[in-house]
Amino acid sequence: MKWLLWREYRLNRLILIAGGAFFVLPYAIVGFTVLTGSYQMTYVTRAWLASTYAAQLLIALLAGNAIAGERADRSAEFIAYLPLSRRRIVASKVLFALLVFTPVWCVTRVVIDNAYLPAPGYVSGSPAHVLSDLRPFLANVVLLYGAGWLFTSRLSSATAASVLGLVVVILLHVGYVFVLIPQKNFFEEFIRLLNDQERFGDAVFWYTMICISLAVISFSIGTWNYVGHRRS
Amino acid sequence: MKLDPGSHIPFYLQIADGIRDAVAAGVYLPGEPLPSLRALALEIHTNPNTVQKAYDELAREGLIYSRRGKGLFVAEQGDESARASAQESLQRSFLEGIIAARAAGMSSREIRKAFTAALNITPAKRTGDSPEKGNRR
Amino acid sequence: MSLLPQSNGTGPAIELDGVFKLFGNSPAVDGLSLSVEHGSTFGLIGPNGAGKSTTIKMLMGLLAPTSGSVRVLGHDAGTEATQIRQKVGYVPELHLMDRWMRVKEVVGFCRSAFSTWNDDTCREMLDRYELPDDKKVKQLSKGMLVKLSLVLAISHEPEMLILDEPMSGLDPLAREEFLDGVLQTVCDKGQTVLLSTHSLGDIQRMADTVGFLYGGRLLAHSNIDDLLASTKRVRATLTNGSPPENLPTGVVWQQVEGREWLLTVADFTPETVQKIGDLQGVENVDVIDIGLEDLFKDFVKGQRSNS
Repeated sequence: MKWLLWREYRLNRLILIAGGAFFVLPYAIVGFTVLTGSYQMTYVTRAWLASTYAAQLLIALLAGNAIAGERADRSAEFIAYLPLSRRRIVASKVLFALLVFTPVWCVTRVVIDNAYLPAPGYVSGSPAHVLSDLRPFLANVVLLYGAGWLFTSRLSSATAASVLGLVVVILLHVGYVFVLIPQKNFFEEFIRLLNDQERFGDAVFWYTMICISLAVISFSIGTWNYVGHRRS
Repeated sequence: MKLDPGSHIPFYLQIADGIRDAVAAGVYLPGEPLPSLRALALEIHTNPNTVQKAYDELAREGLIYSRRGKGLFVAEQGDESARASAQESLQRSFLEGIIAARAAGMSSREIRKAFTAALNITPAKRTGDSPEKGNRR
Repeated sequence: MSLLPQSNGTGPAIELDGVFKLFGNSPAVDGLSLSVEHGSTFGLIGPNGAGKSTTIKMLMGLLAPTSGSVRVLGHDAGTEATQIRQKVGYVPELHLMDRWMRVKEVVGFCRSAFSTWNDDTCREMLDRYELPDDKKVKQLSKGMLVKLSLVLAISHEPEMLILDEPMSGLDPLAREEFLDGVLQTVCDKGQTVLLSTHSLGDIQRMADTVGFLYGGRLLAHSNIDDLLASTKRVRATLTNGSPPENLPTGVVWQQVEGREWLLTVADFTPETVQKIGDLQGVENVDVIDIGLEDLFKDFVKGQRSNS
């Protein structure tokens, strides 16, 4: 497993570097503003929001590249002739994604708990608090990986697989919000939702459930494609 | 010995011929051991099973025999029987050549002349008398 | 002092039974049945597109046959492919390793995949072939790549070697070194070998049995010596310039030029000469021995003129 993980790292190194850079960049900018004395509280919000988007992009890219990437450069054949079961290979890729995501999660959590939540002006039940709920972020990440996995198992382009995964999540996210909030007076309704902690909590809960279900289904289909299918 | 993949003669017989020639030429003397399967197979770059077949063929002819646990050795009369085989083979070549020459219309005198010319070109071996095929190793 | 085949009582080392493989509607493998005994070297020969690679992929469990059964070393290639790959040393035509890996990384990676890796064998072979640990795969020459593939195939002590046209594009010295490497391990360990190649010279050197694949079917499958002994070319004169209608069985190919009639006959017996001589308008029957190359060329020509 160690060697499989190492190989995953080498195969995805560019993605990790780029994704990692984009994840760290917002915090670096905030750090810069602290040094130059122009720091403002709102910067932290924007920073961790931006970072979470970078992280989601990173996960989408990893998922899209997982199987399609190998198919593209024939390195899949190298593995195919070795006595490695495809299940083991799937496990190594998922484990790799988890290992990559763990520091992302920890950093985000630490920033929110230490820089965001304790900030003055923060009040429980306020839109700011509601916004710091990381469940949508997690749900998106899980769905990005699951959907991306489905596409990567069928397509030969890693980019296409990643993009399709992103499209699925964006469509779901946007669609969900539009279903939730009536069109008339959209922004007023949106603010009202953010202030209604219970209603917001429910909305997030169901969103998370939908994402996870879809992710599990996509991942299963994708795995079945890869493990059960003996094409070439 | 040089193996010819283009020839219709199976490899194992070519190998057997090569060993027979070597014995006839005195490369392996009676009572001496022959190279092991592995050694010969690697030397002539061929499948050990083929070498095995060649050895089996030669053992069948009586040219070589095997000593339990010690390998294969040239039989006592081995060199003589090898030379006899070489002679037989030469006789066959002569016959083929003469038939071809006759078919082309050559007379006995012409054939004899051609034979003498060829004999004079090729140098005699140390034991000049019996026609030997020369070392085909 | 013969090499004992490693028979473990579970049947032949390789067993294909009525195997079909269709890609869309065209059959890459068309009713193939063959078996290879433990300890023997089987040469699989045939023109491009004959189905050799497809067959090998099925043996290694990468492709599922459309119908028929594929068994290797007692395991079914459909359900026990991983076990087969543990026991088979595979050398491909083009190297498969990731180009960015260094030699030591390739070795480390493969080592972790096999349960029976022998470090000493591996080290010894890497040194013998002078393969540098730190060089990346993309920096290695073709000859070194194929040697590395051989090292990887042999280091896990396989019971069988499957060599899939590994020598294509190699210079003569590299080919010889590669084949010697294979011969050495076969001499020492007596593995079963399946060699897929274009080169008849290699087949004669390495193989006991040969199988000729054409259009997904096995045209000939026998011991090389038997094949050479039982396939002859016959030359005869046709009195009226046209060959007889009813040919004896076993005629693989024929050609008429003026009054000269040439045919290649498989399963040749002394009676064959008699039968041919007895045919209408045939005289002066003469038998010629042919080598493996001409033999196979005639098989192909015969197939082409029949289809």
